[in-house]
Amino acid sequence: MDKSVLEEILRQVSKPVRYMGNEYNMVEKDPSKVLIRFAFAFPDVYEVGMSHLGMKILYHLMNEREDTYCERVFAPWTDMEQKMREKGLPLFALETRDPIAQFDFVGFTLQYEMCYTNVINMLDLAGIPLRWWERGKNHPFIIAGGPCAYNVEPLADFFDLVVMGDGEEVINELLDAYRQWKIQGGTREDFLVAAAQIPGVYVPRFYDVEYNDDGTVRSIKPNREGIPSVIQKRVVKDLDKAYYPETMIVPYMDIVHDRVMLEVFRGCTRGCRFCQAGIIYRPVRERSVSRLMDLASKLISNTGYEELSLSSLSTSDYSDLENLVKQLMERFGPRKVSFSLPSLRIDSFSRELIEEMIKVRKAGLTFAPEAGTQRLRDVINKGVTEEDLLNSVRQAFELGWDTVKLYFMIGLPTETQEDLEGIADLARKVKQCYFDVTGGQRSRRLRITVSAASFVPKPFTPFQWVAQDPVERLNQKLDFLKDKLRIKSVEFDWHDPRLSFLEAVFARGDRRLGKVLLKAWEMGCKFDGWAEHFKYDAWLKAFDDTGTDPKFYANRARSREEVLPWSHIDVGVTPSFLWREYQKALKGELTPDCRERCWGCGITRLGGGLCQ
Amino acid sequence: MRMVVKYAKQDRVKYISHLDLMRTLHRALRRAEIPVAFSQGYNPQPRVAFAPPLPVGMTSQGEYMDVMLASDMGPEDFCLRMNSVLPQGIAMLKAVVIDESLPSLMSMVERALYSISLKDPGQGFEDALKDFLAQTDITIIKSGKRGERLVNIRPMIYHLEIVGREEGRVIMEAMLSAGSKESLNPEQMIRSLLEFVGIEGDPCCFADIHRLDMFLYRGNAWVTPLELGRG
Repeated sequence: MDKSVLEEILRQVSKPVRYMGNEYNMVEKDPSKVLIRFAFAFPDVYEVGMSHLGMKILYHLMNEREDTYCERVFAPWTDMEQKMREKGLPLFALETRDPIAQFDFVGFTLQYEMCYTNVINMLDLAGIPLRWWERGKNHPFIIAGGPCAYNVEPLADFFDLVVMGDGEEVINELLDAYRQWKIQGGTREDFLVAAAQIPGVYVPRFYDVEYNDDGTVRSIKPNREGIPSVIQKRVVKDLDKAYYPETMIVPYMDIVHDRVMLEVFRGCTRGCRFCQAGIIYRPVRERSVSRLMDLASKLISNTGYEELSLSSLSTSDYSDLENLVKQLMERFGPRKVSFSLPSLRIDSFSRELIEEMIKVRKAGLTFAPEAGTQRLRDVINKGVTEEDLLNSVRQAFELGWDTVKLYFMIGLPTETQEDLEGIADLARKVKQCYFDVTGGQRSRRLRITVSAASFVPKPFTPFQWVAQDPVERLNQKLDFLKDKLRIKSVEFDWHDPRLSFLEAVFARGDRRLGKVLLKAWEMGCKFDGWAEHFKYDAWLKAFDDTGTDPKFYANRARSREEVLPWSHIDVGVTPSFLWREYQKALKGELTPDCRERCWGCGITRLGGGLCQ
Repeated sequence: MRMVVKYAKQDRVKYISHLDLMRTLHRALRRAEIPVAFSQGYNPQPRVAFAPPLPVGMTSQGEYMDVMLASDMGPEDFCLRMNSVLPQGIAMLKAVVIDESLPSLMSMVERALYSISLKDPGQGFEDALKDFLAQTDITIIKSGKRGERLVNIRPMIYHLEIVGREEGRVIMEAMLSAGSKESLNPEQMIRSLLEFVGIEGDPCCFADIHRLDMFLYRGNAWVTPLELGRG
């Protein structure tokens, strides 16, 4: 590539550091000395993508291989894209600045639905034909993984293959198969057939989908011999033995999560019924304190980061948290390293420890009651009582916090007016808590932020059969809340229900949505998750032009008998468990944390973790 | 112990902002296990300060960092350890130990010397340059925190001359104000000069600017911060 063209462009765009590479710990290899070139693609901007733990793990893991060079590529911001198109500069990887169209693989991680148009845009910007049937032997294989890969059907036209589950083992198996294929020679299809034999690998083109007259799926079946009828996700059984990088790239620019990320465990035992992550990352697998301490030492020394976060879906559930935090404080406190526990439950923690921890930094505190009444919290199986919440908030105020955030969802199944009123009541009680602590003393610094997102029914959750509230209804609910939450010191913010509507469409979509995505992209949709780029009207037109009814996907309740577009994917947790949970939800019955007893979700079939 | 360190910011890192550079150097200091002193108080910060920042897009072989150390170490050792943990394009060139009571680099440095390479505007440029400098008032619009204001930059140009020509480019050297009192961004000066000469277009798209060094006034002479070194 003409690097002087890039030089010229970089002078003219915002935040050129996004496209520069050369960060400390970036892996440098001679591309002519490797057999496989892999572009790890994150379909959003650099500062978002670089904050993603999965990429950090797989980047270093693949680069451990002598035969492979893994590089990174992100979605260029719109100003950069415009310049690149003007100058005919194709999408390039940060490490070598070589066009990714020359690579063997382009692997996208799919973290949220609203990045799908960015996937298409990046392929186009790279000069790679968009649909799998348009690609030939000189094109890379376009592959995907990540949480949205479990129902990848709306993107089935665009990907050659998709990987389900933990990537640490399967990626090596896939690269081994590719190596063999590349050395032996063969057709593109030969490789895909070989890859489809690897557990966890899904090749959409090897499956035919038939539909009923009412538009629902009739069947999903392999269309050739030797292809599994069900694809089971991969599970890394022992995280202590699993690969974890001992170094991480240290970006120049301030990225969203700019710190050492230490994954303490994977999975979650709480069983919130709206939560997809809580299901698809099962079973819970913990790293030992000794392994974590070892990794923390190496990562802090190798990166120079001044902050370390203990990440997981619910860090306070780690079985030896107090011990871990104590050891971390002892070892790294003197080195002025601070710690963040993104999903801390303050009530389960000794106060001394928290006081010790916040010496270094005191950011705002976030609580997620999710629903306004106990009845609805029971429906969603959020095992938090009002008392729990108010106790935690009180402690936080006592420790000197004065900004708290409360996260809620609107449009949850069975929601009534009373539940909405409950949100405002809770905000008022939290405020009262503050005055109780300060002895009625007013403070200008007190800020309670109430945040409302619209509920999006997700596949592989007990609510996968549920109809989402229509956008108009969600807007009415928001209007009601805006009125009720006109309270001094309380701020209200909300997510755009139109965005949640589109998320619901694509989260539970089928293959027929591929043409909608393509149409929307052609009409300029990209960075849909960024309010300034969200073009709702274009989306509606894309549905209209392709004869697609988005409400069929978002606002329709499914029956237990319906063949769901993802029914050929096995995430371990069984549909019968999910249905049971759905029925319990409707009756407001709780399913306690499965650390207490096994509820038979089905994950034990896959082995590994605390379930053994 | 207080150390002043001269470092280079080369082509590969010219697009990182001063804030990004500071963060990068703080993390390098940690990786190198340099015993940096921390400020007192609720939120202790490493005691590291910088000479006037380099605008984004420029390279330099004369940047300065001012580090307070909690325990003594040799200046050579400092550079060696830092250079083994820095990203490509940032290099520590030389360090000296200075008197702890000296004021900040930011307040002492007053001038910076730049090498500027731009597309040769052709014959007659010498005369135009002469006319440009003959003005007593060169007013430009500076935008800052408090909005836009008019500034006469002529007194901030101490020296500006053509030093060579090669491959269709003209190379100039400029000594300009830099520091907390007053400061002139060479890019702004070039823009003003090219406007005066009557050349259209965005000059920053073809001017390569490289900072050679910085100077402060001490003992009746203009010296670089390294000359603050003891002994």
